[in-house]
Amino acid sequence: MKIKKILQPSCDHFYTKLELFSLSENWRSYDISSAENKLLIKAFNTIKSQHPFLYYHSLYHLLSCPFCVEKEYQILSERSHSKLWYLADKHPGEYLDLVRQAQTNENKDLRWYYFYLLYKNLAIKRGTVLFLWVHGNNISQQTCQRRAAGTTDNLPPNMAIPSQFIGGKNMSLHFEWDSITQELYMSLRGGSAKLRLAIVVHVSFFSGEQQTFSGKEIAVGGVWTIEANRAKNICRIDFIYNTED
Amino acid sequence: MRTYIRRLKNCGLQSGYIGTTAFKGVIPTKIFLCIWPTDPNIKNRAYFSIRKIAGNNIFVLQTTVEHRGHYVLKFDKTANIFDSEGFFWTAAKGHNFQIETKDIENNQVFFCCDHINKNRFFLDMLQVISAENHNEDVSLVDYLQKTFNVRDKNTYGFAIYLQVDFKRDKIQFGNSCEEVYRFVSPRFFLGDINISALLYEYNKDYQAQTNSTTVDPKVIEQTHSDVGKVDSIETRQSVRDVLKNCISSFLNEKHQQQLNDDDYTCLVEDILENLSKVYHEN
Repeated sequence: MKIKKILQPSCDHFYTKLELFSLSENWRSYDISSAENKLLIKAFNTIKSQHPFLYYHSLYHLLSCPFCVEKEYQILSERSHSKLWYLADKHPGEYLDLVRQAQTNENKDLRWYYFYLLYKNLAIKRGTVLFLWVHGNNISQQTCQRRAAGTTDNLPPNMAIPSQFIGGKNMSLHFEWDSITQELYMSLRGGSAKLRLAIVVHVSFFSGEQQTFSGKEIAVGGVWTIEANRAKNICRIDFIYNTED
Repeated sequence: MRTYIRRLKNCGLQSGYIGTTAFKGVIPTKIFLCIWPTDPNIKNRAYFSIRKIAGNNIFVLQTTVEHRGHYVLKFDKTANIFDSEGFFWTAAKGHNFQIETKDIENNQVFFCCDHINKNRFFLDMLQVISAENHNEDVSLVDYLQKTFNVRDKNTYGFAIYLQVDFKRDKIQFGNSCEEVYRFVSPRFFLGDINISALLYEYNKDYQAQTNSTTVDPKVIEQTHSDVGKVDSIETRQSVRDVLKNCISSFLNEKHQQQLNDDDYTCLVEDILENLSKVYHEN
C-alpha cells in the first residue's frame, strides 16, 4: 500500500511528508478553496483514525530527527521540542512533570503542543505501568506488561514487593477490579499493621495527576479505591516505605 | 559498528569563544577540525556566513576533558594577528554525512558536502585532533601553519566535527516501527541522560562582543535569502496543482456517491503519490 510506503517514519520521502503534514496540521497556507480544504481535512482525519501510529510516528520522526529538522529548519524547529526523544525512550512515568508542563503550555507554544499531541497519540498507548519501590535512598524500578493482549487492564493481579524495600518482610500489592463499577481496589497483603503505617503509595496517571494513599487508611485491613475513569489510566505507582531512622 | 559524524551547530566566531558541552552521557571518540580557504570574491562564499573578528584574535585551541566525561572545546582569543593579516573566520552551513569507521582509520574521509570546493579542499583539510594528544594549549596559528601551511592572506572557513559511536536500535509505537542509530551511552535510572538523536548542543552562554563584530551585509543577505526547495514559487505552484487536480478527479469519479473511509484513503494516496513526483521522491 502506497500510504504505508510513503508515510513510514524515516528520512525517506521527506518533502512529500512535509507537504502532507503542512496540509493536515495547517503549517502553511495553500491557495485552495475552502470546500477543497474541507475535503482534505476530512481525508486526513480518516488517515489519522485508520493509521494512527503510522501518522503520528511519521510526524514524530519529522520533528525529532535532527537530520530532517535541519532540512527545513524554519518550519520544523519551532515545532520540535528538545525532549521529544523521551516519548520513544522513556516510560511516561519518568517524565510526568514534563507532561504537566506540556498541558499548561500547549496552547502557547508549538513545541509543547506537539510534545503533548504526540504524547497522547503515541506514548501513552503503550499501556504499561511503572512501579517504583522506594526505601530511603534505595530506589528500584519495575515495569509490568499487560496481563494479556487486547485487555484494557494494564495491571497485574498482584505485585510482590521486593523485601529489601520493606525491611526484609513479606508483603504484596493487590489489584482487583469491581466488575460493576469498574473501580479499582488496591490493597496490601501480608505485613504487620506497623509496617503498613509506614507505607505511602503515590499513584500517577497519564494525565499527569497524582493521588496519594496512606498506609494509615488500611493499617488494620481494607482497600484503597481508585475511581473507574482514573484507574484505567494509571501510569506509575510509587511505593514508599518511610522508616523513622 | 557504524559511526556518524556530524558538525557542531553553526557557530561563527563572533566573540572568539565557542564552547561545546554537548555530551551528556555521550563520549566522542574523535574531534575533527576542518579548515579550508575560501576566496571572498567568488560566488562560493554565499554558502557561508562570514564574520570578521576585530580586536584580540589569536585562537587558542584547547581540548579539555571535564569531570563526568563532558568534553569542552574552546577557542579563546588572545592576540590580534588574524585581523591585521586580514583573516576572516567562517562557519559553514550545516551538512550531514556519514562514513564508515574504517574510512576514518585509513584517513580516507570525504565529506558529503555541497560546498563547491569539496573535492579540492575538504579531503586535504581534515585533521583529526585527538583529545588525548593535546594536553597543552596549542595556538591555532601554529597549528594551522604547521598542519595546513596557511601562511597566505586569505579567508578561511572552519568546522568542528565530532565522532560518536552509534548502535542500531528500534523505536516502536504500536504497529509502527522505525530503525534508528543511537549514541552508545549508559542509561541511568530516571537520569536525564540524552541518548537521543540530537547530536549537538551549542553553548549560548558566551557574551557576544557587539563592538568587535562586523558582519558583511552582503553575505548575510545571501545566506538568508537562500530560498529553500519547499518555498520556491515553482514548487508552491506545482503542489497547488497536485492538490487541485487530485481533488477534482476525485470529485468527478465519486460524483454523488456516498463517500467512505476507503475513498478518502485513495484521495490521500493519490495526493502523496503526485507530491512525491513533484519532489522526485517516488
